[in-house]
Amino acid sequence: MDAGSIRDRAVPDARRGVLAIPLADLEALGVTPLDALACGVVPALWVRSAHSLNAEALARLARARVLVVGAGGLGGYLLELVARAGVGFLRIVDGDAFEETNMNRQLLAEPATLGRWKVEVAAERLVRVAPFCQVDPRAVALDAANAPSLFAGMDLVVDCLGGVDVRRPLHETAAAAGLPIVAAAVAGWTAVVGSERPGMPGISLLWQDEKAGDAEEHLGSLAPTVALAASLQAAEVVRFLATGELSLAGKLLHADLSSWEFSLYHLT
Amino acid sequence: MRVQVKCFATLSRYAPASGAVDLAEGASVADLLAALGLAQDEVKLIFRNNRHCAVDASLADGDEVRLFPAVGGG
Repeated sequence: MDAGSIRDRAVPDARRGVLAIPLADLEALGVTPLDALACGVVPALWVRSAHSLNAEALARLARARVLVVGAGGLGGYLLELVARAGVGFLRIVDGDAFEETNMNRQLLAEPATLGRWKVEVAAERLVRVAPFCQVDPRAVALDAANAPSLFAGMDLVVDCLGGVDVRRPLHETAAAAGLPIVAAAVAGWTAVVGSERPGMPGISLLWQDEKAGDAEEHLGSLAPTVALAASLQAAEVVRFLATGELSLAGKLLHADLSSWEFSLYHLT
Repeated sequence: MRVQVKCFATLSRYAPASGAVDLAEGASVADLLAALGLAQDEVKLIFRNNRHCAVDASLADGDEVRLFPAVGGG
């Protein structure tokens, strides 16, 4: 890495008080965003992030490795948001292909992608919108046999699953691996979001009864609710990776979009 | 005593029209659920004054109770 070359190509962004370097110049120099950030230069695509996420925070995001389980409703939006924010590595696990009934809410479900693996479609989009994000798509359902290899080397797990029965095993596996987890779920106009640290109960208390009827089966799943839940989840993910703070640990954030009630509940 | 109650998602049909339920002194969450006609196994999370509590927790006048079913869609 040549710090002088990076600084030579950097352009002062006076309004935001940062030195910015365009994508094309990073590519021409053959350097990474981390190389630029180490010189105090912000890749131009993150200039508008840099007030809230300084160079140090952006570097932490670029070094972060995140396991996202589920690439459907929640996952489709969440991947877009965290990749654009600058997360450097995303391993995406989902054993499903897109179906027509996904199209009411899933960002990546469109006529051209029906029948294709969700993780492959997600990886193709992320390569286009977030050129510095390394994507590792795995078209498998997470299970006890493959969990150890899928969890290896990760900093954080994101629960974007659908269904009650599959959630608790994922949270237990994350806790056993010593990893924090950020989860969201929806039913109709109801969204819930929360996080857990290993050994600290949280949102998964909602899914202790694996045979419980899922409210989603009666109320369905709507685009505004799913996108909101994924966005709240993405904010928690980005803030945790950038600052180490897991604000929703042991809490449940509930949004009821039919009554406009937003509440934060304490689970511990 | 009177407690304020909200029931979310599929439980909303059990919500009292006035938003409140009158209960005998010393009543528990279980007594509240019975008064609402709500089976205990339908309720997966109970909050009293924004804090998680068990179904046998006792209630006090003015408490705010929030009830959630299993919400798992994604």
